[in-house]
Amino acid sequence: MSQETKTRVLFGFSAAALVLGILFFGNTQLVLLTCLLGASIAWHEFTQITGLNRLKVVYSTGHLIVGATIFLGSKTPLSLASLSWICLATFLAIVIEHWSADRNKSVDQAWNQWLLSVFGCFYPVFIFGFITPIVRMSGGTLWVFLGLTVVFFGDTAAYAVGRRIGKRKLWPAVSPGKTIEGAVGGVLGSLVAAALSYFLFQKFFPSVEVPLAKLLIFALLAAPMAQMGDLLESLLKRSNGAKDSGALIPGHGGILDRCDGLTFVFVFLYQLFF
Amino acid sequence: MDYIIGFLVLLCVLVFIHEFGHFYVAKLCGMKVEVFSIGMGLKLLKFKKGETEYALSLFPLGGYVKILGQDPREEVAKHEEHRSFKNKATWQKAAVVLAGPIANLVLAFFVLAFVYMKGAPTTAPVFSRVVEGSPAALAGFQNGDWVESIQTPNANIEIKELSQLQDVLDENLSKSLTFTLKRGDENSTITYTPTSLLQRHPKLGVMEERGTIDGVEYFAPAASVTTRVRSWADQQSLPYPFQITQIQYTAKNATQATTLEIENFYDFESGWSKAISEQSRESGQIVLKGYPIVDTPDGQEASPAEEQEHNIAWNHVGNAPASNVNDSGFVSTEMYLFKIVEGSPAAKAGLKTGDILQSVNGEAMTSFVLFKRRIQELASKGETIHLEWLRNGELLKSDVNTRVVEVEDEITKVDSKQFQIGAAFLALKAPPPLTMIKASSLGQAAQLGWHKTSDLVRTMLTSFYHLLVGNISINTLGGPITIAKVSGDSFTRGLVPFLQMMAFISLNLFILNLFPIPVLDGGHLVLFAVESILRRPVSIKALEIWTTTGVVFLLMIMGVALFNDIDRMGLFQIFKS
Repeated sequence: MSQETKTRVLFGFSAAALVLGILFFGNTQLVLLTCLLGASIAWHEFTQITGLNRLKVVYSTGHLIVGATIFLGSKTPLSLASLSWICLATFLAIVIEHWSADRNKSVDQAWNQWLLSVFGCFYPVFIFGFITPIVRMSGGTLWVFLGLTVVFFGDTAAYAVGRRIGKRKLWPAVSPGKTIEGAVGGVLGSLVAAALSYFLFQKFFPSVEVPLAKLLIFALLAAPMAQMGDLLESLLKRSNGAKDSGALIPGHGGILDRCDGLTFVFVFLYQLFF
Repeated sequence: MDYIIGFLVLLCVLVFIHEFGHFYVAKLCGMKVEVFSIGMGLKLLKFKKGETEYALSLFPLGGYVKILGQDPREEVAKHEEHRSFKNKATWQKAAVVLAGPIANLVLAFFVLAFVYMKGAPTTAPVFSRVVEGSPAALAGFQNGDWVESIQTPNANIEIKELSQLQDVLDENLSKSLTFTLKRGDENSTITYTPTSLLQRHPKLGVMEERGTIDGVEYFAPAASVTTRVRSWADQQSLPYPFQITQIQYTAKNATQATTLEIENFYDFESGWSKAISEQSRESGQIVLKGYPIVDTPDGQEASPAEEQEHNIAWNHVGNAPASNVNDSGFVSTEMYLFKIVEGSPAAKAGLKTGDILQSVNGEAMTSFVLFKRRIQELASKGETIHLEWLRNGELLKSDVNTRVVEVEDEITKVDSKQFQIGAAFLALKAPPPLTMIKASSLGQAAQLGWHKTSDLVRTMLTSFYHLLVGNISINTLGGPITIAKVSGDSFTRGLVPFLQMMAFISLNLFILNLFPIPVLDGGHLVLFAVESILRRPVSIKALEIWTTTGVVFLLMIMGVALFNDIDRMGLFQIFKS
């Protein structure tokens, strides 16, 4: 094993242990706190990739919007109507930014900056904002665990399968490594992960009823979503000329690199079951 | 107008004290204070004395002290560098920053001590009601017992007010306590072990395990009455249900009429007996003053209409009333069904308006609080609920279902599940008795003042904690309009309430300003801490982001608070109907 792979494995396992420890042994408050922290870092990385971090007011406001949205939605996620405040708040931030810099020029950038900041605020909320509401529900912890395993196993399987037998490229301009074979392998990996989780649940949480059929259907639907999340983040990085989103977990890149697969999965999970 | 004056006076005093704290310590540390301003923005009034300019500015929501070298980007002349904020020791900078909030704390302490010198009205530690047959009644507690002291396993605590009594109960769950009670002119002692009950905290509104004496209520039932069918009272032409406020009668051999003020149902019981027994059985007359209770159009609450006078008279022994309220046919409205929601479990069980509930699963019911508690207990265990009630003198019975209703808490705005049968009772409460806490010496005033100060700080910290972890909704935050309203309101109610409000808001400022939020004093302290750990000043860029985040955060919170304020004024209501 090369030194690089060693670091990768070592830190991968530590991060996983930490997350699972918080999920299974921490209380809801700790889960919420972790999500808030993760979301804040995700926003930070997003602004670094897109260059939004040069806009002081937008940068600060974004942290608060993301935090407030997740905090206020920690029981039931906020509705679309409430989320429209994000559009207003980010726009206000853009206005103040340009107003205080130079009102006479720099209009060309403003629209793109606003679009970026709106999406940038939604992005961490998608990834982290639905975890606490799900954990709060009975059996929710197990479903969050399932979501994580399905995504990460799928990710790893897609990588492994893609490297061995991958021929047909998925979208080489965005992500040269991803292949259609890999994608299929990913879905299969997710199914295996779901089946394994089922036996784990049976053994350790016999009192919580989670039918196998539900698990497999969820895995089948969630796996392609995870890959779309992956692809979306690749697109984001590629079109902004970044390689990694950050360097939070040595060998794994930033939090967005690691959690991109979750982008649509927990939202979906929440809607599906609760 | 009084409102505005009250608010402005309060604001100016608090801002002045806060800024004076900064100012004074800055001077002590040899810093050059350039501006001392009450209010922010445009300076309305200003004069210069020595090196400092004193100003009164347009926006009264705060103030500031401008010290030389406060802004790290500021250019400071060579000869003044030793007087610049930037160049002072970290502990001195921290002291200047801390002095503002501390000044608010000190002010609150002095104001509260002064309040206790003058005497502060508060709710008396009285068991206004002890429900018949309850554990408390069996232990020997009686209506109107005034708790003077409680002997806990550790100490003998003198009880001055109701909140203190509740604190002692909360802190001594399942411990044997000995209560010294004043009952009329006598003293008696009763030993009792309070049980714990999940109850709503009266100020914070969150659910907590609280010490309870099962059957003791701090409110007496109001003197609102209805009648038993075909009783003496039923034959009088009173508009029942009727809330009695006064009894007037002329005693035998007396020339002057006697007037008895009636505050609760027990007053009515004793007053009635007195009025009957002091008149002859052959003929007599009683004037009952009070309000007929009417249903208000928006439902929910029954509200008194115009005060009325009703004459009841008798002219021979045959139609004289009994000297006992109950025997005369008066019944407290507490268990009187005022309203039945259509289609509700109560309606399906056959309950109707005007029925009087008698028992739940065989337990006689006289208290609404107890009734509610029993329904929750039984329904949450999934047991059947069997009710008995009176209609036109006839005892009816039926099982009743419950339905689960999401109830939004008034204080915390948090929804909770409650079992209801869908019936509204006319359980009106009489106001609790008041008492006065007055210090006998300066030392005692200081002691009482300090107690109250630390008590308030503790309550505020707990409520902030609950706000932070989401037990209390942010819809409860009040903004400037709420502060203006409550402070203006207290100003019109007299000096003591106004001073209490001032102390309360001052303590709020003390705590709020110490929050580690950039721009606020607490944020500066965090910055100093970070700088002394890093052993170098924080970079200008990091500082800018830190401050911007603080400003945006405060603006957001202010926005929410202001929104809540407007919501409370009912302005948004017009859109909702």
